Amino acid sequence: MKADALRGHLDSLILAVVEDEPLHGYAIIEALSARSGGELGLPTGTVYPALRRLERAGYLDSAWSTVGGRRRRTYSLSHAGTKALARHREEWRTFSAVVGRVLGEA
Amino acid sequence: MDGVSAVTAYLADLEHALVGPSRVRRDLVQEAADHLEDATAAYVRAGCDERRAAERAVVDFGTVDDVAPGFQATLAVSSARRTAMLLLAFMVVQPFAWDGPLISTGAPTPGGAVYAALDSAVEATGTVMIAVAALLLVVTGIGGRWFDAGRRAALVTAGFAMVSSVVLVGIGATTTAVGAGPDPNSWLVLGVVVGLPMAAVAVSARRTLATC
Repeated sequence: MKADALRGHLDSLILAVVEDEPLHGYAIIEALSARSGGELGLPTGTVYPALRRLERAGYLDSAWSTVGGRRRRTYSLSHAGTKALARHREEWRTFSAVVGRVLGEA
Repeated sequence: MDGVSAVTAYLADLEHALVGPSRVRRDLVQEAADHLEDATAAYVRAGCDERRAAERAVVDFGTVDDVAPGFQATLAVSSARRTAMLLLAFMVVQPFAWDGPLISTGAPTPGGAVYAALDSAVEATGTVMIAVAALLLVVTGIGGRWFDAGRRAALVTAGFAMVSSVVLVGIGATTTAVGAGPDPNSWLVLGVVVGLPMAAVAVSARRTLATC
């Protein structure tokens, strides 16, 4: 998948992968890759500014913690992030249903 | 170049490309280092030798040219937020300063149309500055929910803070000249209460400008 196509959806995807448990940056990227079947072809380094942006927006909380014996910055979904994720999911369902109808899904 | 050197060289290039608050910059580069260490270890587990694993990890991360703008935007917004916070903090205190030590330096509060106009200008300007500084604080914080506050927001914040510093010191100096004349105490108080804080704001704004 081209990075351009992903732009605008990356934030929602990040929020979705930290929904169940707090994760550090590399684990978030691994989860994105695993859930997408490796189809998200973006430079992994571009995820970190997005994490900081989501934290500033109040959608993620972060803290330095020890994971596997090493200090890591770990991100978790905030209350506002949970609500934003639910909203994004609803918007995506509506959008994909409409586009699917117009394109004529098989 | 061995694997460790590839990662070390990449991190050095990345750090060299970034300008901004040192703590945030250190955190960002540390996160990148953690990522590259994990990615290298994953490739080694998958059968790559150490050198090849590190090179692939670096390639996956993206070139410094691709990655640095996003990191730099983070630094710019962080610096802008600090500048907006500083400006807001000083501006909130200013009304108490103007009504306190600046006016009670011994001389009675002067009358006259010019002084009254300057006094009104101080109040109006101060109110606008407080409102805009608060808005910029929101824009560089949770404003990210509605739009991407990147370097442009940082540039606006730095520019506004710089102009505010100059305007406030200018009005303060004019008011003091009209109200107190050459009285050294009044000028000393002006320097301490207005000049020094606004100089700190201007320095912070200049640092933010450097990140944009």
